[in-house]
Amino acid sequence: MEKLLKYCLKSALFIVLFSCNNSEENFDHLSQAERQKLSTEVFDGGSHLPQGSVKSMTRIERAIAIDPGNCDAVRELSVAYLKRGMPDKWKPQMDKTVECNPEIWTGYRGYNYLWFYRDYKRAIADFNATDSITPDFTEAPQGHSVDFWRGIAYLGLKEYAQSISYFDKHIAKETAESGEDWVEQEAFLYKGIAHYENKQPEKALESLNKVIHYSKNLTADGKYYKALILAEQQNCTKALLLVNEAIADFNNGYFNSRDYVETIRQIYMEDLNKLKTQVDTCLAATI
Amino acid sequence: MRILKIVGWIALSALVICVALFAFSYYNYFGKFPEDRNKYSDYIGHIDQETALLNDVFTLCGEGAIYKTHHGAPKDAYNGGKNTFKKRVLESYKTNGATESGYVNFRFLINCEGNPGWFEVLEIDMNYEKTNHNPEMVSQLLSITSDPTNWSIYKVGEDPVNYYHYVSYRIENGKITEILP
Repeated sequence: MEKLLKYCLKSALFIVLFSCNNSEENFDHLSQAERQKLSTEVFDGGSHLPQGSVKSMTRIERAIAIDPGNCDAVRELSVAYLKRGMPDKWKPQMDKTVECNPEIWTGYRGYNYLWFYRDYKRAIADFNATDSITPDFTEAPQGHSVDFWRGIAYLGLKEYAQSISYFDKHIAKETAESGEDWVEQEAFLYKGIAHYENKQPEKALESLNKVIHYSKNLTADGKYYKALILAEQQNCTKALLLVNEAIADFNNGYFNSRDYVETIRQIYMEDLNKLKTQVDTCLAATI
Repeated sequence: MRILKIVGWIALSALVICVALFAFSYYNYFGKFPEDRNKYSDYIGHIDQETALLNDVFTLCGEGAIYKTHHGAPKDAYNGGKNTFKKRVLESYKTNGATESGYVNFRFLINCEGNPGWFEVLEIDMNYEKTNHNPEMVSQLLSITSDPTNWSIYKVGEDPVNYYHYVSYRIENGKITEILP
């Protein structure tokens, strides 16, 4: 019994010591390479923890305490604030990330300004900054070139000439390197929208036809905008066919959207129904 | 009798091994990660139901479990769709001489009946720092956002549940220019 009691006391002491605050840990005895390795292990070792949970945030803080140059960890600390609508907490942490590694994270911050805050001017400033940070190549935060993102940001500002010129630059580069069929359909879609809003319907149709072609005829957005133009040109029969196809595509999930935020120029079923009503009226008037 | 005893011991040993393996796996996967509760009292985005605004109008359902805490419910929350919500807001909102720019964010909960409450308000300037906007403007936006007709019932399987959502209004010179997410 006495032994059991001693064992329990030892176990309790061990647990108390083990659960001591990590901020008291000291890593000065480790070399820089060892700190980097340990920091990566701590960070990666908890990547399965729910994002923004206390355990996850604690492990990220520990990874940064071990190696303040672990910029992936510095960035990860900002993400939960971004996704949960807390810009005052997101911004200082994101700025620290950019300071940590401007080459990697400046474009990414621009991407966040663009989509989560619709802060087009700051987004463009960050995308432009990548031109001088990495002059030898075009940055591609979140998998798309900064030219593509600038095209969207200028569309957000309704500066159509700039928007179109960046889409042209992006499309020309992708086409030269990999072929036109490798260009994102969204590049053609947004370029088409920019032309449409800039009152250049024929040029818009050129781009929208490419969206329809490369999407294998499954695009509610491409067909919606094309139908919109045809209806304005009083080509109501074709417009009706297209808007009906657009509704079918939309119902089957073939429309432009994003996971965490509404996309720019998002279309909804109400838009499609409204256009269908207009086209029906147009057709009735011509009979 | 002896065979029964042996089988019993084997079964007991197997059970102990299974429990030990489960405990070991749980510990390695989750339990071993410490929590700095001094710095993070709860998960990011947690709403303190004691201090939140409009916390006494409705009640949370069941045990009070909250879903969609990862990033809100942008594809499920709006009753009639985001477009409908946008139209309602823009039709209701009056600038009333407000001239400020920045963001007004409402982070809140919606119960299993689609009723919103437990609001936290974040007033942010164009530099992403906390500020105090025109109180009448914020109050007007809170009143619009907290209208239950805007919000859907969210179900997990067949069961309606409580969930988290946020709405961010980007304001330029007193006018709403974007409604996110």
